[in-house]
Amino acid sequence: MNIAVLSFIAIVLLTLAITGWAASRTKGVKDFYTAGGRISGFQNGLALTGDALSAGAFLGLTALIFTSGFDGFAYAVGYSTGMPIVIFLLAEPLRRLGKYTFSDVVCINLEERPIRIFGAIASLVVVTIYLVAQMAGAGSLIHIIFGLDFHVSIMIVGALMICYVLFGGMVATTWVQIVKACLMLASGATIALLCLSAFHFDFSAMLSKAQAVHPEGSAILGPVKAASSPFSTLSLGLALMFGSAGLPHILMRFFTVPDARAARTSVVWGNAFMSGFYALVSVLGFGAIAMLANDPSAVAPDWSVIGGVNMAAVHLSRVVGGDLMLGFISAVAFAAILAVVAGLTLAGASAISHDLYARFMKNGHADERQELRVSRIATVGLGLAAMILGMAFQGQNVAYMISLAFAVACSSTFPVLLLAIYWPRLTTRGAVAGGSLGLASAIVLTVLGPSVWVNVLEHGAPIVALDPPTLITMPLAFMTCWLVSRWDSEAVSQPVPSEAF
Amino acid sequence: MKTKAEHQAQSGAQLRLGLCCTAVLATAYGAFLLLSACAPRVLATPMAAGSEMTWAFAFGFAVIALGVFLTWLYAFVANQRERKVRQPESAETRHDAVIGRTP
Repeated sequence: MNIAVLSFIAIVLLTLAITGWAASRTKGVKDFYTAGGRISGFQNGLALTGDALSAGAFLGLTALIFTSGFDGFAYAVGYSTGMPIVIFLLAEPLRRLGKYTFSDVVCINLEERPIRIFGAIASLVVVTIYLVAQMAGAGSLIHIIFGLDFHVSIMIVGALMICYVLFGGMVATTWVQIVKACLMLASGATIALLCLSAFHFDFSAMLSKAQAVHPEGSAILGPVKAASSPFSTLSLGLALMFGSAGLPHILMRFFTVPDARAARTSVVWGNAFMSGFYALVSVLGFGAIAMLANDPSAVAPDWSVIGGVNMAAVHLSRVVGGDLMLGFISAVAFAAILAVVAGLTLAGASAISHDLYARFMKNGHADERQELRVSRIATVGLGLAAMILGMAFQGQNVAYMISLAFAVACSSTFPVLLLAIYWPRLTTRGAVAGGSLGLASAIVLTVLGPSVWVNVLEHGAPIVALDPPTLITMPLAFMTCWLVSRWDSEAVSQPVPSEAF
Repeated sequence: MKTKAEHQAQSGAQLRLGLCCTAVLATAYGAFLLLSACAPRVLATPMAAGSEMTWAFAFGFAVIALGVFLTWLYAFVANQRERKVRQPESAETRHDAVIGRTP
């Protein structure tokens, strides 16, 4: 039995044990959605890290750097700006004004029913896109690393994620994310250190080797793509910077801490860990170039990676740390997927049970136990849907989906949430109009853009060249919210209560 | 208990700090993107003769570090401001009081 299988089993057992423990602590709706508000700032910081850094951050970014050099690292830099924006603008008001979902915050001064519908739909769209990308990615990854059949892999991931959320709610999700974050940070740091030590801790020496062996040569040491598509670069930057502030599973984490101070602490720690990881991914990526170049077990002569480009980090771990490291990394990648999909499923289930069922259908008069039951049903339903969709997207290029999720979040949930907190003259119609237009335009323009129109649907040229369309859709959403609110004949709403701070 | 004036002063100041930090980070990251698009050769030049570390890396790491610093700074200032004010009521009762309806 090799190390990879052993670590896989260990992760499964550990996370199930956590779920069992969490189940005993999940008695009511408050525990299910927010772990009773008992998560400390530091713990939440780790959980945020676990929630935000998917296997894509580890494997995907390394792969991107392996292929494109510095352009891949520029992506990581963009990601690192996301969490600071959350604390500057949203973390504290969210904690003080909201309860279980971000729609709670938006609803405070607006008509509840339309906002609940909008909030739930927007959340579910973002969550579903993200989930499908993760599930399809998980299927391939587990298939390649552990040799399991694609469908079996998806079923295992799906079954586990449903388990964590169904039985353990936010408590289980939080602790699975914490464990995953620790594993990912530790393994990432270890590989990076081992890599650097091969070059006597001289980053420059490593870069020197990298540019000597890479097909693009010294071009990998600076940005390349941006010059040929400046608007798309800016658009992507916008999406990376402001998208995190609209992702429901990230926003939800701020309801699990007891007060605003803990919310701040979470982001300081979370951002520190994540930024550390984004910085060290540069070592992983360039290290992979330098160390895998002449290794036929990892890289073919045409610079394609054995097993697919996402395996670059896995090969690197084997080269610097042997089979032990390889096994460990494989399990970490697996845990990474599980932690993120659990968070996504919980966010989606809350949108269904809290926004749609309890607040919209039952007008706020839902019996707590009923709401909890609906959450659990929603969890299973969403989990099954994610599995089916993941299987349907087998083999398809799903890389654009994460960017799409960010673009939609930037153009629907983020603008509405931000304006609802800070602009007293936002009206219900304005919020719904702006958010919906942002959501629709983000999806339509992405479908018409290079990622889908050309790469997936295989037409010759894209109808819209901007990719992602955030540069258009985000200002569009804000402007629409503003315009419609101004035109609206609804009475001016009261200013945001000063208790927001 | 915070008075309404203290509330508003604190919330105004905190918002200004948040917007300021956002502006600083957005400017730094925006400059990084603009340089990448308009002057990539500048970024691709090595920082020192004989070193392969280009200004691109320096800028990239600087943006990451700036994010960490500003996040810490914001939290530090906000915590200091909060400490000057007495015990706030729990978020739960405040939320319910604010919206005036059963949760």
